[in-house]
Amino acid sequence: MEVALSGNEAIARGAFESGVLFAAGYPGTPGTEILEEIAKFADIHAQWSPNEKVAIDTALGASLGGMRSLVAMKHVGLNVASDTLMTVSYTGVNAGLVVVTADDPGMHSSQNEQDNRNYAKFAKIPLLEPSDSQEAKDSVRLALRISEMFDTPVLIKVTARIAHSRSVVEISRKRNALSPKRSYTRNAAKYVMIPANAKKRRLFVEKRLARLKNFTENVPCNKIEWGKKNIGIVTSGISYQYAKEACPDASFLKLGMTYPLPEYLIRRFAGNFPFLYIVEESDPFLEEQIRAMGIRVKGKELFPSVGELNPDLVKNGLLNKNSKSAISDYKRVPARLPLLCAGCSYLGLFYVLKKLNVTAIGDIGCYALGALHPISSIDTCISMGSSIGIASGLKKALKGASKKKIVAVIGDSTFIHSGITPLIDVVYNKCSGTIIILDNKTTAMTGGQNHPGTGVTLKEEKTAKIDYTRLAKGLGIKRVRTIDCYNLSETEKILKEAIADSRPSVIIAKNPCLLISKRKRTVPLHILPALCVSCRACLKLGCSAILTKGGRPYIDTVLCTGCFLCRRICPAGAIKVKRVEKQ
Amino acid sequence: MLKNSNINILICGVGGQGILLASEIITAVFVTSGYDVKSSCAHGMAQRGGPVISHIRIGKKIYSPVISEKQADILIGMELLETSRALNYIKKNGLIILFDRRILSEIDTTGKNGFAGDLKNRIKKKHKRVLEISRNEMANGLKNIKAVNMFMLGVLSDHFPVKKECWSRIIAKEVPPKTRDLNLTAFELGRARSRDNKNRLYL
Ligand SMILES: Cc1ncc(C[n+]2csc(CCOP(=O)(O)OP(=O)(O)O)c2C)c(N)n1
Repeated sequence: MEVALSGNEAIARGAFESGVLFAAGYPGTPGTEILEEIAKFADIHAQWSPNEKVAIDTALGASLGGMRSLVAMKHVGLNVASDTLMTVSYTGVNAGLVVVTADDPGMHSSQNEQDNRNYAKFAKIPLLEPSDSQEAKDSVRLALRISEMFDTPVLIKVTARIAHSRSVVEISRKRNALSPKRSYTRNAAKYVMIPANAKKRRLFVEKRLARLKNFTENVPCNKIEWGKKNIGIVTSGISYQYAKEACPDASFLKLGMTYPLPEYLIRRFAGNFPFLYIVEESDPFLEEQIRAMGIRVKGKELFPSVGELNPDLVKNGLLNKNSKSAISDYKRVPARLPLLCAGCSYLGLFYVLKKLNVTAIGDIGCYALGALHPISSIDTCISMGSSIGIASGLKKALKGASKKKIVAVIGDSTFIHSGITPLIDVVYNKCSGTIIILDNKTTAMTGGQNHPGTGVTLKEEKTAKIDYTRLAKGLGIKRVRTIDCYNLSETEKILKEAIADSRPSVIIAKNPCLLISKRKRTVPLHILPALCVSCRACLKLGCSAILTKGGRPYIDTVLCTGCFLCRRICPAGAIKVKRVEKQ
Repeated sequence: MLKNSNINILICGVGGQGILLASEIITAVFVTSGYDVKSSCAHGMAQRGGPVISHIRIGKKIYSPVISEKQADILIGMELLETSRALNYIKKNGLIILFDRRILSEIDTTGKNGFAGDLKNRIKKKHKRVLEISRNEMANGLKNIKAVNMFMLGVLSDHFPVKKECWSRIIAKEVPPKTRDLNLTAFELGRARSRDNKNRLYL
């Protein structure tokens, strides 16, 4: 049957059809839906992990136990999981182990645009790059086969344009025979990577790579599509589609397996042309390797390495036209920045932090939007969990130099992901400082996934819930308080006391995210023009329901959630509940 | 069969307007009707009111999931600022189905937006074939502005030789059961709205 699936859905489907029995991951755009979709298959054990490192470790364990396993994450997640990845390359696997990385060129929703193909080369493991949903589905089966044939983890790289694009996929209802269960047997020489064993496995890795080079010469996903003999294009992933669109008549060497590269196939193709065009998004990953084979190539001098490619950019590159951005209007119209939701509890917290004039070191999540105008309260956003470490380092550096107090602001999911270890550091290295955990009971930024602090699993089953207060106390934090961010005076009082304390403190903001809480919308507020003195105090809140007309603020009653934050800060008492007429 | 070889549809607006769902429905309708379809949606921060732009391409064989510059046959503009942003995509003789709605954002409250002006006239000046849907005509027929995405689908659907039942069946399947009736009504109203429109494209 033919259906339209997104790349993420197709990967999940591929996992199902090819007998994956265990899947783990941590949310992250553009790859979040892979696990969410896999979780819908009843007999695949699918779980959210606290972070990507734990995800790859559990998937490895399941592989050792004989289950075909898949682990999925966004590109930066692989940085977190890379410690394990680099050594699993040495140990190899038992049942097949597939690692899916969802990269984000163009940074639609990420802090960087690293090209994770480099990890395949770095870890010396095979790499597949599907170019549409059908190939995304097929790549899972192929990856598992390679994994079991060559005793290696296999990396599949998709990009946002693959993960979030829909295209036609042939799905089959029946499931591929599950791989014969490979039972667990102790094998210390293979899995205990002390130097004596690792040195032997290091040699195995080289031999495996040599065998993989043979394999990749004949794998069907690496193929030549002959067209006109004057233009030869080597390409992979979504760039293949763009290049086909831009120049359908050219000859193509389409690479579905891009590490290790099929050198003989490339040479055979190259022999027909004075030079090859290498069309690839992000880094010159293919280009550098093919050039190193001594083949004449043109690549990044024609096609940008920054941001996404598109058919226009590829066409301009092939015509050697200076690619001024194709979609110019897009840039000229002022950017629409994302906002915190109207009535979000974070607005209350940021309001108080600004009032107290503290330096707020931020982390990754919705609250990073607190860096934008008019809130302008967050100073940094680097990587998951880094706020706490940065805050304590900054504190040590600024000791005495700045009167401003420093606080770290970190979301609950981010805290669980990477915030506990730096909290231990705070205690151990005798830092003072306040850490604010935003316990909104979800992973909001990525669309609202459960995590160990919500008491519900990926499969919607009930489970234990982290108690942040007891956790912090257990680590040695003496001052632990909870706050309700809609209660501005109490929040201010508790924060003031905490930042005045010479000991480290943890403050837990306990308001649930508006997108998940079933809280009934209360009556909207409005601003009475007769009482409003146009002081614009309410606008400083940064609530997206408060807009202006002719310089005067007004409240959009459709957006207003009735949280009362603006009412509490209005010095003129001009904000009132809007009386709704009874019908 | 479609007359042209490929049809390119672009939908733009902001997070929360149901653009993703609308493009999934269009995609499913044309896949069911036997076409090759690719659609692509950039919706990274959409949940926080960021811009959303969705490309849908329909034909015998489609490569790129994104539309090239000046290649969109139909642009469904759900918001005025985002529509002006996307104007470079539309073909010279393409059709803009424009919902007359402005959703303000941070740039507007700071007064830094030198582009606000009369966006609608700007769009109409730049492009001739615009089918405008006013907020009132939506609100009157529906009493609910939330189903505007289905209304726009209704308008769009009238331009293709695909049976109405096919659209309704897929809409009924894709939307949450509780909102099924509202969505189907919106679709019908949109389809009827297109009937008396001189701007029809016969694709
Ligand atoms: C290593 C890594 N994994 C995943 C992500 C994707 N990501 C961005 S923000 C976020 C979590 C936000 O959740 P939380 O900390 O609870 O804050 P909230 O958005 O709920 O305020 C995630 C998972 C990332 N940026 N980096």
